[in-house]
Amino acid sequence: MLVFTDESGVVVLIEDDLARALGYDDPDDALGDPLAAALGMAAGDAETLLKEISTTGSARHRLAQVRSHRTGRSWWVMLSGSAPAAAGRFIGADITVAPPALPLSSDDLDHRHNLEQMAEMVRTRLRNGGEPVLSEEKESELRSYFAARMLAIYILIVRMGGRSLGEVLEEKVQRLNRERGWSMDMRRGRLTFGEASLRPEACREITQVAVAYAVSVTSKRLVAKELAELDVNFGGTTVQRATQYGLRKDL
Amino acid sequence: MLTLGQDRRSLRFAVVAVVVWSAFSLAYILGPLGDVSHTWFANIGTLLGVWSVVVLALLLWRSCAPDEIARRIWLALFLGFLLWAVGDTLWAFYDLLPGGEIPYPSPADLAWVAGYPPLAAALWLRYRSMEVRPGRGQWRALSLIVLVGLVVFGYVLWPTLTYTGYDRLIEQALDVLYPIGGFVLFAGSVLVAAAVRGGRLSSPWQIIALGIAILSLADLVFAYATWNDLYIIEGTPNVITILADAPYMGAYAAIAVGEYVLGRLEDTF
Repeated sequence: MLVFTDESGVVVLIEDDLARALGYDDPDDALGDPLAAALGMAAGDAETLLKEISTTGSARHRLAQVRSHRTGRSWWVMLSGSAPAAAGRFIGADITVAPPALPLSSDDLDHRHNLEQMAEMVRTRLRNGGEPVLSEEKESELRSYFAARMLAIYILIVRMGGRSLGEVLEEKVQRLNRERGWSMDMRRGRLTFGEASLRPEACREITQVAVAYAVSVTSKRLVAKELAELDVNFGGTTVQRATQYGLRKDL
Repeated sequence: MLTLGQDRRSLRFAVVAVVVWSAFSLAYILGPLGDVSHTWFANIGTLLGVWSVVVLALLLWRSCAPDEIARRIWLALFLGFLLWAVGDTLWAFYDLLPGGEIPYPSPADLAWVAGYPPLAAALWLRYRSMEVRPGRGQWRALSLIVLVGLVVFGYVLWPTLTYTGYDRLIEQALDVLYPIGGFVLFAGSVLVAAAVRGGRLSSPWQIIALGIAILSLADLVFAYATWNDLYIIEGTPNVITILADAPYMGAYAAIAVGEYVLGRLEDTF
């Protein structure tokens, strides 16, 4: 399971199951907490882990004790991590939390693999969401693609510009939805859809607004790189269809 | 600082900048090569700093895509700093000319005054592009700006505006323009620094904003010192002259460090 932090070790994304296991009723409540507080681990251990990732670009698997702050129950896990960019341009850490019994994977040290997990997380959320069941798997995949792209943009903005800029992005998306009468919503970077059928023009417009804002506060190069790495995790057909619907354009 | 600690090249650049600034400041204060050397060290240190800032701004501007807002921001910063570099170079020329008097106003003043609008525009563009809502940090920043504004008005602007002994209007206009320009840049840089809090970009932008703020404050000290005839142009500098000149050099060093860190972050360097 995955936790993303910003450069100072504050959680910007956490998998729902992990957050619940750690005692958060709403997984989004973990966002904004320091890594040590979110995982219920010793501050020194969390600091050592983050320092290793920020200076070397990755941190190999290590045993650590995490604790649910609601029940107080603690258990052992294997922690490892990687940085989305080479050391020197550290913008945050991708931390993998795994049961000690699981075989260790070198993929946990790869940002691209972590983006893949993030995309899968978005798919799971949408499948489990309250919206009506989608009629076609293709449409579901396209929706996942759009949501994953928006989440990736949100995380990049928060990591680069701080949470207040992430809130600005959410407001932009919410305002656009209100003005156009769409029933999408964005909270902590995660999109929720209130209608069954995907409206490509809505996704297209929201994507454009989000990408434009991300570029204006960071740079075209950084945004393009992050989105290109995310694209690798989707099938060629999905990416092609996304291009066709205008969900992705070359920056 | 976290950012510098994470990147050895940025750390090396910052260490070199601090060492060079400290060395020039000490040499300027102590004047190891005689009475004339104070001025030489101050001018060379300033020119080294300002031209480094100009070159780095140029590289950052050129690294941005044509339709990026960052390109407009860096173009404005480049133009502003270039004009200030020209101003500092002309000032150094007059200052180091043996037996020469520095005219007031001089062509250096023209370049300095022309540098304020693009620098202010750059800070405004940077601030506006982030579209942040007024929060606690913003209100704190505004309070600081108002406080500095009151000090500037009371101690620098008001005496200048009410003084009736000016021979030429242009001198009075410049004495009013400099503190106003300095204050505007100070306000802009504080707002930018308050807006980018918590993200990876915050460190370089805060260093740049801090540099511009120090530069503006050094300008204000210079304006106050010259108004009260306390500024020493030649020979051993007094405390207020040091407080105007040493931070001036240091501010350029800080801006250069901020530019370099930002360039590293965005793969420019």
